Amino acid sequence: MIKIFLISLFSALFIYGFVRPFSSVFSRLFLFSGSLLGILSVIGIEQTDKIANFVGVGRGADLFVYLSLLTIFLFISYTINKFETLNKKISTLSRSIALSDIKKIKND
Amino acid sequence: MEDLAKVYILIPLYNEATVIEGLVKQLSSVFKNIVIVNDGSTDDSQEILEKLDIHLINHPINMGQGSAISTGFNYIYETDAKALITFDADGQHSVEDAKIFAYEILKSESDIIFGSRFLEHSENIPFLKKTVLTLASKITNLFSKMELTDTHNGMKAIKKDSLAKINIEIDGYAFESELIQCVSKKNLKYSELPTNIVYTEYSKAKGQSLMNGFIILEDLIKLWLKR
Repeated sequence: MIKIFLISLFSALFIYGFVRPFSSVFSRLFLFSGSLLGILSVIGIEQTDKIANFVGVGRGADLFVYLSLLTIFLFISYTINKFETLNKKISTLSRSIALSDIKKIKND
Repeated sequence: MEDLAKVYILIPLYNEATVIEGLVKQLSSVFKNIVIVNDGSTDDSQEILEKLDIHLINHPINMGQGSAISTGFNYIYETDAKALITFDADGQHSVEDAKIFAYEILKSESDIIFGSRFLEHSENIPFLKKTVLTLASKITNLFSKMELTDTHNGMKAIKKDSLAKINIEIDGYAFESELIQCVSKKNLKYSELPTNIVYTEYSKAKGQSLMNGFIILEDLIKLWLKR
């Protein structure tokens, strides 16, 4: 039952990766590869073991742990970056409002 | 006073209701134009500032000292000022020093004059603060290839024409380092003058926490990576 749920979820994410407009190609690739790896982790345990052996990691489960950690760190750095960009935009907007307000007062 | 009418004082302010009125009164005896950027204060600063004879700019939200300074630069650039002096709102700086800076920036060839606590009066600086400031100055000098003795001093005199070459993007405390990078990159002429900082109990409580040093360091690394 849980396998069906997980496969449905990853498949839905894969399809969502096709239809959702992304500003960056990396985001789309990230969603594709993530959902494919998710499906593989559920249905192809032997295959993931083979891949893990090929890249020098003992078990498929370990490979997934490493990939998950990497994903988490990438996500954190992406979020911080996004947050800073947003902060800069808010700062520019607020400063612009502050300066236009003082000009308005002077004109009045 | 007439000579100094075109030297504007720029004060970034956040929650300084206790001291700001007295400070403005002291500065008004020497300077005609005082620009205060109220950086989203949540105390009574706004009410007090509205009663004073100053140029008042209000940030709708608190964004940081760097952002307030940058807004002040933008404003002063559009005025008849010849130069400006940045001045801390917590009453640490002396009006006498500001006067010396004002006369010096008008007559010297320097585009910017940095204040330094280490040229004279360094005995007033608490030991731990002195150590952190020395380290911060050494790191900033390393990145900027400049030779400053005090890179995080709030008092600076800047010629108005030089403002066009200075672009501050950092909203927080590390804007000082960004400003120094600008001075270095654009080959602006600079010099230093001594300042006497009075560390009162109030200013110590209000001043930067030493832990902020880590945030400044982080911003410095980002600046270095951006180069």
